[in-house]
Formats: sequence, structure tokens, C-alpha cells
Amino acid sequence: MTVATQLEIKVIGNATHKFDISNELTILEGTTEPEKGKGIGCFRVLCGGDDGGDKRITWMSMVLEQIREAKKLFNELVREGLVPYRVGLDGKQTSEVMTEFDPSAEEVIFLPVRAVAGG
Amino acid sequence: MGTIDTYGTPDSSVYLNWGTSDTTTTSEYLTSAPLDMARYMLLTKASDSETYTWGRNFYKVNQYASSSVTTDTWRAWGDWADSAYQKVLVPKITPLARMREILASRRAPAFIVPGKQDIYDFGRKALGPPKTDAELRARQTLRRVIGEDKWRLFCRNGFISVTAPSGLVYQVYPAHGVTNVFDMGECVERLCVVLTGQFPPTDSLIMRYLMILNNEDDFRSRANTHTVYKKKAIAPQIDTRPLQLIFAELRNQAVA
Repeated sequence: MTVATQLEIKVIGNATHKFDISNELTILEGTTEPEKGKGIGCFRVLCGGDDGGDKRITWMSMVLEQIREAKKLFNELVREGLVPYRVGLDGKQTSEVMTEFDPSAEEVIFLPVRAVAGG
Repeated sequence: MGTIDTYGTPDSSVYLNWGTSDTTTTSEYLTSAPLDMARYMLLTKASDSETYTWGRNFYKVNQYASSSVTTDTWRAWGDWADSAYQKVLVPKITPLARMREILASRRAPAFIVPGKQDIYDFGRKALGPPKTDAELRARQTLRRVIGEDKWRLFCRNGFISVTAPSGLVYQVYPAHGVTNVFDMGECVERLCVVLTGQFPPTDSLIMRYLMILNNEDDFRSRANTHTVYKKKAIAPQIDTRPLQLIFAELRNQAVA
């Protein structure tokens, strides 16, 4: 796992936005998956781009500083127009749109709804 | 029909022009199709006794309902592309290759894929391996969200079924696949919603899944509606005869 300080995410089409990622948070590289059931929350940001795919940022739900930084990132992503969906794991529960950050959320998928169009 | 062969060269793209706003995607599909396949589609159209003129707004390959403008006629892209593909691009299988296929299909374990037998959609296709890391990541996300049971069904069928709060069942495909909407087992609508930009195919499926569950009205309002075609169901042709009989038949065909 590596830590980066700035993450460039395409928010719609070719428009990008640089998000400051605190060192408290962890960006998962490649196809690394967050571990289940260890109090690790994960943001999955669907952002497209040259390498496509999603960007995964994790935090520990028991560490206050990481929760604080995760909340900050959450608010910033929402401000840029991405919609957060809290999803259950293993089909346990359906998803719901989050109106505010919840540190107990294990998995949050950020969807760039402005990129959604009829085809 | 002879007129068509004089246009372009074996290396050129076949380009068809039209005038509606929703035709860009169709143009990209057609120009990227192999020339033989595109030519076959043109040949098929000309054989329907419809006049057509090369190079102008005349041939509207579109999913909308039929309408006529002068001598032009609307046709469904899906029908034409499929028939062209079957005639032109499906490789001819030798008897030996066919025998190997049958032997492989009878070996376990395997995903049993009945083939194109569904009435409403593109047909069931088992999921192939991910082509990029981005697609692999997207599938990992999907697997965590929908669970192992639905994941296995997705691998086998190539789509997932989502029951929306309204009670409608959505048959969701990855990439640019059209979403089929079922009400009490009957397909009532075909909706197309895409993620614009470079996203792996499964990300589009995740998008549709999330929006259908949480913002069904928004999903429907953004969607383009496509015609529902009720084709005749074709039962899968699975050869269950003893292998000796099949081998003898194939050998006779090869000799002949």
C-alpha cells in the first residue's frame, strides 16, 4: 500500500479535479483490495480516465484522525458533484445515497452522475 | 446490388450519413465494423427493394420506431448487425474442431451457456476474463457489492437482475448494453444509459445498479428508450447423441 498527497480524478468527461489526500488516508494501488471485517472503510471513486477504473482510498474506522480526513475528502468529493452510495457487502443490504459522512460505512462508491447520459 | 461493390476499397471504411441527433454512436459502430460486414448490411438493405443513394442522408440505422422519409426507411440496428455478423464473421467450423467443441462441452466443470435463445436481449454470454486492470478492479467492486451468488450468475449470464423499489425488474448489462425492463415477466421497455468517458464496462453496470436501486426516476429520465422486439424464441440445440454417431456423421461430411 502506498500513500499519495494528491489524487487527480476526472469528475466529468475530460474535466479533472485534484484532491488533496492526507497522509492519514491510504490509496490502494493496482488491484489491491481492502481487507474485510477489520474496521477498514473504503471510498471507491469511479473516475474513468486513461487507465479507467476506480480509485480506492481507505481509512481505519477506529482512528479519529483518519475519520476526520475521510470526512473532509467525502465532503470535497460531494462538492465536486460525485454522489456517494453506501453499499453493503456480499449482497447483505441494498445501497443508499449518503447525505452525510458515516464513519461506520465500510464501502462507499462515488458515482459521477454528471457523466451519466442516455445512449 | 452491383452498385455497392464499386464504392470504397477493401481497406476503406463504410460511412453512412444521416440527420438525427442520436446517430453519432451508430456511425462509430458502422465505420468500425469490418468492411465485409458493413457491405453485407448494405446488401441486405438493398435487397429489400428499398432505393438508396450512396453518400447522402438516406440510410438511417437507428433504434427508433419506423418512419419513412422519401425513400428512406428506419431499421433496427441490432437486427441488421446480428444477421450481418452471422453471415460474414462467424468462422466456419471444421468437423474436427466441431468434435473438439462437443467433447469440451461435455467435460466438467463448465459454465453451460445455452446460447442466443432469449427473446428480448442480446443473448446470454458467459463473462470472459478482464482485459484491463481497470476492468478487474471494477469486477472486484461489483463482486463485493452483489455477493457471491449473484456474482456467479453474472459470470454465467453476463448480466445482473435488479428489482427496483417500483417492482420492475431490470436486466442490466455491462458496457453499452441496453437495459431490459420487465414487468411481471414481460419485457416492457429497453433503456440505454451510459457513462460518458473512458470507464471499464463493469463500471457502467455498477452505475446502473446503484441508480436503479436509489434513483430509479432519475435513471429513467436520463435513459433513451429503445423499441422492444419480440422475437421468436429458439430452443437451444444441444446435441446429446452418442459421440460415436456424431463422429460418424462428421466424418461422412468431411469425406463428402
